[in-house]
Amino acid sequence: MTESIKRVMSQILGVDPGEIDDESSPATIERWDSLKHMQLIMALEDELEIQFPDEVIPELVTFKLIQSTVSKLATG
Amino acid sequence: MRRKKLLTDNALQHLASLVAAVEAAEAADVPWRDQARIHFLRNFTIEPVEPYLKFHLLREDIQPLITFGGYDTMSQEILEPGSSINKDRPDIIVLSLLVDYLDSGCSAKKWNADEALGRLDDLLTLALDRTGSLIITNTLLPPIDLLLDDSADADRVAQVRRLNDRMRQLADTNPQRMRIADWEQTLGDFGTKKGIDKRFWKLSQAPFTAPVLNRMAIDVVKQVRALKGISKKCLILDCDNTLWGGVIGEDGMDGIELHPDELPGSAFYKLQQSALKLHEQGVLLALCSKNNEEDVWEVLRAHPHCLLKRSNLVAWRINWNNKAENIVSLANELNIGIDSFVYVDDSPRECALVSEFLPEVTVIQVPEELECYANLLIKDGLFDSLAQSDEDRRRTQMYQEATRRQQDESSFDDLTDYLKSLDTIAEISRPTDADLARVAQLTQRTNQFNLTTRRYSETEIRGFVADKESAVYSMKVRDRYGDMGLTGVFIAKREGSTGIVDSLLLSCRILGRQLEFAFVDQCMQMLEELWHLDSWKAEYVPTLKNAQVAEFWDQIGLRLAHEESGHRRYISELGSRPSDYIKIMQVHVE
Repeated sequence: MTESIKRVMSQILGVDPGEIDDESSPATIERWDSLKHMQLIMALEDELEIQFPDEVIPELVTFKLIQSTVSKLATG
Repeated sequence: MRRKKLLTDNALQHLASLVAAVEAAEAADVPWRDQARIHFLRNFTIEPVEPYLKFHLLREDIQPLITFGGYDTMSQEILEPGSSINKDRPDIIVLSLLVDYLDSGCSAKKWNADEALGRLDDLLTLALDRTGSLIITNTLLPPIDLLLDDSADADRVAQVRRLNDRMRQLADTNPQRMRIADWEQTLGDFGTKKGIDKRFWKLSQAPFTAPVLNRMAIDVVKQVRALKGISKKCLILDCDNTLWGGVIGEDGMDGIELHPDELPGSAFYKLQQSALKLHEQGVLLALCSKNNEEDVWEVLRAHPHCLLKRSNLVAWRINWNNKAENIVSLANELNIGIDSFVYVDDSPRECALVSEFLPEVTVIQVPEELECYANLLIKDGLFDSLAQSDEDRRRTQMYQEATRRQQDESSFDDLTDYLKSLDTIAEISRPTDADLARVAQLTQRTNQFNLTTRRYSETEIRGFVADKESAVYSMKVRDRYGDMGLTGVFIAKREGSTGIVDSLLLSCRILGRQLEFAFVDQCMQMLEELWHLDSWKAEYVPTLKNAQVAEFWDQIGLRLAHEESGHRRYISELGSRPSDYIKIMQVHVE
């Protein structure tokens, strides 16, 4: 799953998957603006066949937060 | 064609792979066929459409130059001299509108669309009057919130319809300038549940889901194709299991399926209906199949449900040769580019072969679900062009005449003898009002014999005609085999005592008979007198398609003054042009 998230992030945000770490965020990835954020969320949902509840979407702004939310959704 | 290989249908299935494929395709080192400048004027978040739009443009080797205006600053952008619209002059302005922001009161209990109607009218009129771009706008949907809780009442729907009616009315009166993408239809097809995502609507004012965005993108690309003159011109059909169900050589006349009302026959019957509808719009129809030729003609002649007739066909290759070779030979016979063809076949092997060897051909494989078969020909607007002219409707006849001319050609030893025997009459004149649509269409469509490949709308052509400092001439050609219609355009501008050739183009169907020399010579002579010219400037702007005219101005006798990466600029005093070609034809001037 970690791999899938990294791959989607790399495809959408145009960064090397190896460069993505826990703290990767709009502050460290230049292209991660609000439009890319929406695209990223849509792409993750599409790839992992999950749906994020709307209130958490704006909060998913680091790799770590995305990862923990996805694993909660997957097990929950 | 590496770019096309990145942009597979699979890549389109997931947003992440789509974005990655689009990015790679944009960076691929393959020459562009053309570019499309598209500016979105909008009142909500339409940006999610961008990867889909790029995907479909890149597939055509069109470089996407896409920009988005501010939220709800549409009129300002049209009026502001420094705005992207006025600086970059986009080919297309897409007005993406939601009624929710056109009139914030639209969800109120008793809503009347009067105010929104006024606003819409002002906006569209402004876009039509103040820009030269093709305007694409969308039919309005009922307010999104009401759609989401299924509470859009009949009265409100009726108010929205008033807005859409007005839009259609404007589009009908400006067919060359304004097009409508039917979002109502699109959302109807997918349904609100699948088509709108409430979460992104609430968070980012971006309501639409992937399949809807993809359809919206295709709607825009249809218009780009038409505007750039790259719509398909010829539909090539296989026969067995494509034009009818079954194999004529085995099943016989009684065994093949073509019943109008019963599947599987009805799918093929409808396919024939679609093909004939395209034929009426000027699309050429051809056959390319592995059959006994006589068997095929027998079906077309005698099968009670076969709609397609031999007279609808412009050409055919019914033999056991390789299909890719057959298609190339059709292209040569018809003198149109390989990229003008759509090929339909049921065999995955044949489809793969054609795609492999002729990637420019659009290949459609007969689908397993036959219900959607007939629609495949029409759904992506492959054959759409901006305006339909008389020439479009008569095209098959004209190509058939051309084929007869070619057959005769082989019986003459000397080309000049042959050309003389055609009794060609070229009429050169200023285009009349009725000619303007055709003149604009030729500038949009002509790729091969086109010195500068400048695409103009009917409005722009009208502007040149009205302007004393510019001139438009057109040429109509007929010979003893038939009328080829308006097939040449010459546009010039005046700069003091110098004439500048802005555009020179000839339809490919009259090439090879030296008409171009007579046409240019006559136009230049007339303008030299009218404008008291002492010199000419002309240029050749290279594209992927127009290499054949790279040295045209040299042949005319103009002097090459400057050349940079293939772009050749000419300048010349008067009086050095040869004129003996006139003898092979009669030229009637104005």
